[in-house]
Amino acid sequence: MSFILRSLNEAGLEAFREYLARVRSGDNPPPPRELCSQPSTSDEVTPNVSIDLARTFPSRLEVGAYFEDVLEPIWSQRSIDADRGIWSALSLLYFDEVCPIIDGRRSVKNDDRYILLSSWDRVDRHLLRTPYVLTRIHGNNARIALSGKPYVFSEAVSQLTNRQQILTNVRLFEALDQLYMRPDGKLKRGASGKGAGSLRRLGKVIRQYDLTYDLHAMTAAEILTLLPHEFTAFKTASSTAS
Amino acid sequence: MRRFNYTGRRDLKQDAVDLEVTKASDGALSVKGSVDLDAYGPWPADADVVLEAWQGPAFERFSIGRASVPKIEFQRQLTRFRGDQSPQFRVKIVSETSDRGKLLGLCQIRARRADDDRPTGSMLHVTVEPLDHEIFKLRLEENKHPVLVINENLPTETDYFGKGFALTPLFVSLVMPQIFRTVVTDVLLVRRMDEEDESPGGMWIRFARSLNTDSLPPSDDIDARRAWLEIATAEFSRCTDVMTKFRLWSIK
Repeated sequence: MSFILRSLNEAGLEAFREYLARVRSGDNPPPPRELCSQPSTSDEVTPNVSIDLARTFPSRLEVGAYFEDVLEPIWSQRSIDADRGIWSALSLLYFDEVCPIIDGRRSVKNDDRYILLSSWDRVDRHLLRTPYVLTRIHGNNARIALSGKPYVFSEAVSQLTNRQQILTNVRLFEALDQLYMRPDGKLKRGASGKGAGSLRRLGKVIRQYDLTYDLHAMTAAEILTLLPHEFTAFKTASSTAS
Repeated sequence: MRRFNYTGRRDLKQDAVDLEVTKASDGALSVKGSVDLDAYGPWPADADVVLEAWQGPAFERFSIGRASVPKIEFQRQLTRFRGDQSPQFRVKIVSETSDRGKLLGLCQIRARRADDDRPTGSMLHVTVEPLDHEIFKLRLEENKHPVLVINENLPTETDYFGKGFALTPLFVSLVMPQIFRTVVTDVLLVRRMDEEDESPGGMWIRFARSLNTDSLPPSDDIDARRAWLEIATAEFSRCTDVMTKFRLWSIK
């Protein structure tokens, strides 16, 4: 079902926020998608972007790939990374993907998962924007951070996405793909856990390098060599499925 | 005075780097300045000198020269920043040969704005005055921005004197969270202001709201406001990365 994308304005964002609060309190009205087409709550986006409202996303990887493709007419002409109206409208239009009905109810999380906040430190929590940004920067190497369902926010992955110095490091993500991904595209066993050498541990280890190494200046191989002993098991290619 | 730590990284003082941010008529930002490495050398001739700029979701970095040049001058467009942003900056000297990528030198600095001699986007004014026996104090007055006063009689042999003291990792990590807490306590709990207020106090509340997006409790619920403020302060500390700055200061 084709739809011309419009951006939510302040009135639309406020109405969306009120809807989230209603559902959070136990009410269950349908998502007010009309906010994304009414002139009183939405603004035109130029050039036109046509999206498929019937589209579903099995994983965050598909989210990133799809939006990188359909949003190309606008991201190639202006920066939309911080466009609250566009990303919030997309969350509302695809609300069944970012907040599905499971066992008869929706589990609405914090507003920052659906409404792109102006507070810069929470932008990585938006469930649709982050996969798009990661895919644009890292292409296939973004898969390390995009293996989950679209409605799931991963604290482990957040260690990589909540700091721009890490999120924008192309060679680091190349290293992570080599470290944690199997050839069949699945995560190696233990990668998503909390144990030694896991993705969650990696975020903390990388922070410790802030004062000693410039990871942006290093190749993927050099970064892998730098990682401490706890990551050794993941450096071998023979780890089995998670 | 050069400062080394066990990693061999040299921490450059603020006076080694001069940066100015300019906004063009179309709103585009650019940065120009110089890096003077002579007093901190010698450096490997091929070590790369990198300038990083960041604020919020925006991050940009440039190679601006080699450490073999005693004074590097540069000018760059900041293509990933909007005109109303106030990016922070870091200068890094990075090894290109043995132990490639190792940080040989580091300086964290705020740039001057060409149209304003205050640190960019500051809601906290910093001044230097005689203070008898206090190192610093915070002056709060109604309808004015808070003023951080640094004692003008601090010894000059270290980094810890003048306005620059307030930008050092020591000061930022140990003091800034408490300054944030004190200012917002004053506007939220003492003056009982709200975010719609147009005064500097309202600006601080809006800033705190950007850190704690939960609704602000009513002005007569002091306990709830105090709890709300603690969440905002914790987030301020995280965003300011005080732990890294404390390590930066404490690793000598």
